[in-house]
Amino acid sequence: MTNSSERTIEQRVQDVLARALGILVADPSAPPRMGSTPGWDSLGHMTVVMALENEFHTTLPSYRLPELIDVASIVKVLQSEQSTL
Amino acid sequence: MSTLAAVAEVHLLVGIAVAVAFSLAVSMVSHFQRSRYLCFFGLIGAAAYYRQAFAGFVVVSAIAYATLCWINRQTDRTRRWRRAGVVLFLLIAVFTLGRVQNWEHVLVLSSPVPLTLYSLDMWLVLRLVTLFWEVGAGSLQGPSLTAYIIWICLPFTLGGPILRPSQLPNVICINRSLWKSLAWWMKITTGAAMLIVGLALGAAQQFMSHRFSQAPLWNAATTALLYGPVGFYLTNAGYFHLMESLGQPAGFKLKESFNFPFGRENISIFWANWNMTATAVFRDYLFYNRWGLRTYNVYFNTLLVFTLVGLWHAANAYWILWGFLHGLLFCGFLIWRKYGNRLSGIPLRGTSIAQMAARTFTYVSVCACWYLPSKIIQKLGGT
Repeated sequence: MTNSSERTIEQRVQDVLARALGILVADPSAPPRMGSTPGWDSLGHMTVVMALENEFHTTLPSYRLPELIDVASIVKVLQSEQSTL
Repeated sequence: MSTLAAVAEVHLLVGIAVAVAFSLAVSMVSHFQRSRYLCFFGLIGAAAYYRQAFAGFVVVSAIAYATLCWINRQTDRTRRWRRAGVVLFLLIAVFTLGRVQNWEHVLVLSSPVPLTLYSLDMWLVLRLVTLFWEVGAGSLQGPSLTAYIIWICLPFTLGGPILRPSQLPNVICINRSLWKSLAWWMKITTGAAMLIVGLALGAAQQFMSHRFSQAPLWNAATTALLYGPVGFYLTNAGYFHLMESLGQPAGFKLKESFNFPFGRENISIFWANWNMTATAVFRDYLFYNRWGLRTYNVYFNTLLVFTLVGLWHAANAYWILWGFLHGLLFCGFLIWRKYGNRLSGIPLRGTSIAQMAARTFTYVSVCACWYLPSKIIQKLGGT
């Protein structure tokens, strides 16, 4: 159950990144990562954050925003924030 | 001014000497990789680096550790973050007040060798900010006293670059073979060469100003476009490059700080490659901050971040104005990025000439931000 819900969150995060950054669906050989993916610089990061919050209906605290650097870390933060609600 | 420059040069050289000694000791003698020796050598190195200000460094670091323990005791996430928030605010207030009131020269113990009882320089405050933030946010458990001493006294970071507490290795993996590596020695030579050229440019600037004192415009132009920014960059980039290289044999991996920032095509890319470990702190903790609101104002955050970067350098009108001007420049870039595509009729747009013009404009603008504040202050009747 946990694995399928993680996959669902992961897929949703990838879709959000694709929409927010205007990139194609994630290529496994080049997973999206802040600083490496075109458009995902510090300016694009806030676009990503807002898109994630809209998708998952949550507000991420400021001190967690620097942790959101790739899909895995975003999933981890989202799960951790959802578990504290 | 030349006395200040000389003091800064001595400080750099002492920093390098301390880093070399620490790197050699830890990488060559297995025994010295144990925590208590790392602490001991770190404290010795910090004493050599700070000299009369070492007592102040110890006082500030001890208070910081006690405060850290207080934050760490709170297990509820929200309350922990609130404690950290209060501490961060107080830290920055003390830092700013200390700069304005010159506490480092006021709080001095009269003894055979005068000892400064307060020492909180720009690098120590930024490192403590990362410590309180990471522990307060819960992304790091408060370090043990030993780990804290190793981190706070690490010679490769005393004068920059920044190594966040979460980046301190749990296990030190030395790499003795680097001392025999040609590639590593090339990096060391590059760093040393950059530092020497940077310092030489500073000396050349003084010589030229004195030699050609009848050509003030020429002196102003060469200072603003060459000696000032390039000399500053080479000196600091060279020093940081040396620290990154010297940290490696001792098992400390420091992130790159400078990646050829000059010649970049816009101010955003310039800042993304300038003093990266320090700017990342301002970016992560301030630029992304929404100040309790749901929305995010990029222009406000940009101006705030850069003004505070200026204040971080020094609590005087020059540096605050320097930061503010960079903030304005960055906001101008943001506006261009957002609306510039609507101006499709610009000739030569997208050509190599346009790219060259963009790089030139960025370089000249960065130099102007170094030069203009003093002129503005003069015009406003300041000194």
